[in-house]
Amino acid sequence: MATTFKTLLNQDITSTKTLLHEAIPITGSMVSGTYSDNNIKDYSHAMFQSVYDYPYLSSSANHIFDITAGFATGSGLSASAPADIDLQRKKINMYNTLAQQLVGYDANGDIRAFDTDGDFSSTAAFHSSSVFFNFSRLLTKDEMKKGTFTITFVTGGISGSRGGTTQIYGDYGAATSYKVNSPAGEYGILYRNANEASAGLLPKGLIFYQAGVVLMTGSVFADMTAAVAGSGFAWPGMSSDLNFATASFGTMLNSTASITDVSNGVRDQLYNISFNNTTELNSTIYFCRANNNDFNYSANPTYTSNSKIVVKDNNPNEVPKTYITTIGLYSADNELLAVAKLSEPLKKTPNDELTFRVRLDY
Amino acid sequence: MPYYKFGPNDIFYNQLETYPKTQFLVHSGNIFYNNVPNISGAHVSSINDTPTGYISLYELNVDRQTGQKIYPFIVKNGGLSSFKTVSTTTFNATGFGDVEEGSYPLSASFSRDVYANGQARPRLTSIKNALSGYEIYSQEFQAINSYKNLVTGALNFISIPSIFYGSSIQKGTVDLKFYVSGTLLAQAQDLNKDGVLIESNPSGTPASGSSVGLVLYNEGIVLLTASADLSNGLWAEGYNNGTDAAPSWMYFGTTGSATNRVVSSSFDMSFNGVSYVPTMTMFAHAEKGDLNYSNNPTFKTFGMATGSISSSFGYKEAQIPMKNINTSSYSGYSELYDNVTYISSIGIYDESMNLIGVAKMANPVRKREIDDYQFKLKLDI
Repeated sequence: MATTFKTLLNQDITSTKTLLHEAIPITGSMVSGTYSDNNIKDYSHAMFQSVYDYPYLSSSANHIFDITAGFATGSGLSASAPADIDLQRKKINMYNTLAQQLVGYDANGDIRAFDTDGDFSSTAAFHSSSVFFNFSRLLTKDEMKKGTFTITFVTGGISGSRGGTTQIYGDYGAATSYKVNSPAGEYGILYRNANEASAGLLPKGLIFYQAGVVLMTGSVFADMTAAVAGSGFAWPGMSSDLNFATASFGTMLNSTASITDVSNGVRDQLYNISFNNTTELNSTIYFCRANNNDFNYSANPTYTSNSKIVVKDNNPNEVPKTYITTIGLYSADNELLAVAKLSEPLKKTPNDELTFRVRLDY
Repeated sequence: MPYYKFGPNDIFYNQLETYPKTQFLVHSGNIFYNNVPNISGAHVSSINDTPTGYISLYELNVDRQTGQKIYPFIVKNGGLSSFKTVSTTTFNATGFGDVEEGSYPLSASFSRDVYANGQARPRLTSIKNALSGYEIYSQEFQAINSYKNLVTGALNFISIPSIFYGSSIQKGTVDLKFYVSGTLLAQAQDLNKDGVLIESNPSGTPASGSSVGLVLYNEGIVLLTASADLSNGLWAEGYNNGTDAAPSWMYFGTTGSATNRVVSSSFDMSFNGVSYVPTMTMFAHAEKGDLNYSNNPTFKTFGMATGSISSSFGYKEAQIPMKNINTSSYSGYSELYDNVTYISSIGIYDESMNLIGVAKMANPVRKREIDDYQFKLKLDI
């Protein structure tokens, strides 16, 4: 039990932040194949599709991400005569809903489209039609770690049988070159490889680190075969290459296909997703200093017996000594706020000076 | 949509005290938690990658193969944070900037430490202070008393991690059952809610009515001290780490050895935990005469408004009459108009008018001018 209190000075208190990460691998077989789509939840509103890591009727299943797709109001798909007006509105609404949250509004109060290079002042192209992956908080935690995200697609993703060549897209170089002009926090740009990233060529999507949303531009799916063949991307327009079972991405978005149909096609082409997440652990460290002439006596009832200090073994010439077991942290009003326990009592005599490093995590 | 400010008596905080039930069944060398069987996955033998009877903290690696598991890692820095599984020696040998890796799943179940007569028992030493705190309930919590000797006597020390019970074990709910071939051989309960386990069933057995152990509610520890043969010499099995022995509370919870499982005996341990759920309760008031208008387009009569007046100097919108949704019980008679709204949701806003929560009604509530409602919103925090 303490009888003396020492005031913690500014030099005795410091704060640190530790970043705890988790490596998150998501295999393509998990999102399409292993569980025969029993881990895929479709909704009657058909505005997005939820992917679980196990059949979702099981209590063990975790929601890992949602998939949706859409296109901008000003895109070519939007201007075309839709085969199904309700489906077209849903796709536009989904795009606008995410755009409002992630890139906000322009000076005229209009919803911005997703800019390919993140520079809203430029007249560069925008991602007019896109597939969105909205990762669950369970996986992204505080944020996705910059420079660690990769998503891999295969060129032959027909009816769940993956084949063909893989294409990897990632936020290469984003650890140092991320953007900050989003209302949803920081975001990076997805490229096909590090060389294209360093040259700023052919952005393929965006990743919003705090929001946990990844956008893949629609042309990635439409033109993948051409890209593998080395003929480049017909970007940002849509091609007629058939990567899905029945139609190209552009055709599907413009047709009577629902967002669910598009999501199914994307899942069939998905080979792998990998990223690291980040959890911030904030700590305050209190350096509690026991100087040579401090804390050498205890008010503990067991400290004395017959008016003699027990630990001195009845030897009056012995130096006073105590065994420190606990450190209490008090408020300015002397209210006990926190208690730090030592794993084993520590001997303290006038010949010793001790500094205890008390860390408070929150 | 009108806004109202919560008054000083409209928000209060309290906590729910809940009693989640936990049951462990040890049968044929396996432990089952709350009767959950082993669920095999497509890639691993148990989808949570834990043995039966264990729970997985975070439950992240569901049915994942080796090499595809989620794992945590940390970069050593001046904060000196690390994983508990990393030893001090290893941590000190790690350089700043190096990556330390952990692994998932982290799992937990109950565990046993069995001490023979006279055997050293450091875990008991570590709970001596806690034992002293229970002496106000019964003198049997004294380490050495007239009933038992916890310091040197035979002891079956069962530890239950707090993830299974929360803040503490509920008094009077601990129930231990010892079965042989499906027949209840003995049962012990803390009947007096004082932490002393009393053998209660079957009646007429030698130890019936006597104390066989102790429960430390806050620490989640069960101490079984009775070593009497519960079968009166009629039964023996490989309770003692595979070696045949007579059934007694000393062997409660044993699974036998890897080569000689206890297959004929089953052990059932159940109890209620005590868990607190802090809640915030808010009262939202819909007073008489308030909330009698809606911005919903259907609140007005359907159809294009006609008769707007415009000139070089101004424009006046044509009036659109409200829709009268009052109906009369009498035929041939139209009920007079009265303001009626249907309240379907309540939004909670912060000081900056950010919508931070929405409460939805199961069914819309009809609100007339004369009605006066109070909605109770409860939020677990």
